[in-house]
Amino acid sequence: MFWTQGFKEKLFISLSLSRLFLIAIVVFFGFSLLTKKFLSLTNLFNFMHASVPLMFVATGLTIVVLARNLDISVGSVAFLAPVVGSTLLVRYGFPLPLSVGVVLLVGLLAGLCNGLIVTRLKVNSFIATLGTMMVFRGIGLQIVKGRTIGLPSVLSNLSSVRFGGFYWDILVSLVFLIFLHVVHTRTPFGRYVSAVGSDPDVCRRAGIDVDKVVLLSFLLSGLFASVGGLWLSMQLGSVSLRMGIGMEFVALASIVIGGISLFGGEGSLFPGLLLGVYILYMIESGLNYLGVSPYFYPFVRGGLIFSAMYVDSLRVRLTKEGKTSSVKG
Amino acid sequence: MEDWREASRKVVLEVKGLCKFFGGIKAVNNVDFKLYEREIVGIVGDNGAGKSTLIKVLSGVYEKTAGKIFVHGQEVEIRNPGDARRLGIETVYQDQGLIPIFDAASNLFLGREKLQEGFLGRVFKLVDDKFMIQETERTLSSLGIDIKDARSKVLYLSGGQRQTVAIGRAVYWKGKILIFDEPTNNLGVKQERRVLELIKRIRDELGASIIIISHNIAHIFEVVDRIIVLRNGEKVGEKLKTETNPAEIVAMITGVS
Repeated sequence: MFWTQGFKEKLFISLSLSRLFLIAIVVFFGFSLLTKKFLSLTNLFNFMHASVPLMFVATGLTIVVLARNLDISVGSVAFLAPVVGSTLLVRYGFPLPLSVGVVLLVGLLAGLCNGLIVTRLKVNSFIATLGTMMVFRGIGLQIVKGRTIGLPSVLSNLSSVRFGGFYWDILVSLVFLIFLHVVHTRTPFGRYVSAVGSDPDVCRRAGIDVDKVVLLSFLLSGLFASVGGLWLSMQLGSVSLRMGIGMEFVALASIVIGGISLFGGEGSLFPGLLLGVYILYMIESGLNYLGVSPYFYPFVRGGLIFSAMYVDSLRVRLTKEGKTSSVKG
Repeated sequence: MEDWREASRKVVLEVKGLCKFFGGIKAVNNVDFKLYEREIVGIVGDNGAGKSTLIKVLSGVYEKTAGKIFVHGQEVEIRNPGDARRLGIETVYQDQGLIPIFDAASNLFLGREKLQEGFLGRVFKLVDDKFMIQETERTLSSLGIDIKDARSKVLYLSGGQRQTVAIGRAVYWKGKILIFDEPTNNLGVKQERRVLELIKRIRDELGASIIIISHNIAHIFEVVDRIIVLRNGEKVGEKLKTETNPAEIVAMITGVS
């Protein structure tokens, strides 16, 4: 009997993972055929470089999603944290390393705030972070009072250091992603994140401190959002007023495209999220080369989110069927 | 219920005046009972009689409202599942208490992961998957169940296999007091047999004391030494199996004599 449980499972996993690789390859070669300029190392490195800030944000957010929560305040954190850091740096003459430290600290505090609202006040994480999304942006706007803060060229140069055509920050974002991937798959905390996302009650009965796991996931999300914001401001050379708006949804889109279940528990940072982010940016870069208006991108993102969500719900339905049919076996 | 046991056998677990109230609802009201060494006790009762609440208090899911709990003669406080486990109380839940997307090994060690010995492992707190998989395979095969691959997700196991993983967890952590919540629910006839045999074997080979909760009077009579009957949160009867019969127990459960 080759149709064993193990075989079915392996087939399922390889299908869902290879589905992602397949999409990535189809998209890549599709655009390469459609437009000659797309297929080049320069373009490859360009969209990877462009995706770095989002990669940071989405990496942290993935941990929250795996633990069956949402953090839609990440875009505002990616705005607030560099606002505070750059104000201290530019206006008050703080030393650079200290200002960068403050950026990360703001991210951690924002994450702590979200985590406490969700775990202590028992507010649904979507609503809680919808609130803090507005509050964080409000605080940031108060601080800058409508002005854009320019960054010293040291910072903007740092984000665009290249070796050949290869931007070094691509590597930085990958190191962060792999690091969190190892935490997710190889440490007790990482295991608990997926376990809590799969069944919080079982975790409680197994003596796992569910609230602590959720709180830590929000801390990571806040921290990574601040790193993403920092990097975005470095790439732009300034902290602008609209920075980070809509970033939470692009991050969620890449998470969903990356096969990470919004129902919690299942999914991977590597290769799941990595492919999700690159597929999204590859499509937008391709559309750009095709001369499609940027105003059309939201339609494409929307369509992508919808199809990815459909596949996710389909998978949940399939697993449920698998569950009931195997009870008798 | 003073009997021959009192003198000859050690009391492993004793509960005195145990109460658990939810607002005005007295889910468990003033319950006393003892569990002796190497004994299997069945707790029976209708839906809402307080069986589940009682064991949830013992396994640390709920905190008691009043009363005292003694383990090996020592008064103890059980505030959370971790406390219960440290006292050697292991619970096998009705829905098995497993994470479906994890493999058997990760479930067996859930909340008590083995960390790698090496320097890197200790600094970064990496889990030792190899060790956990070996131990899981050893434990499960010692229970007479062959799981082809301890790395296969629990989701893809049959109901009986999952129940074995859940029991394996209690056995591996050397529970001295094992609580089974409806252990034969949702199982096929053959698997029911196997689980009941397993429960007896765990008592005989590991010397554990066992509490079983079940709706199924026939199953209870098959394995237990003593039966405790709950009704509306109160203990309404306690009988040695040899002193009673299913009809009498059913009458006590329903309160119709």
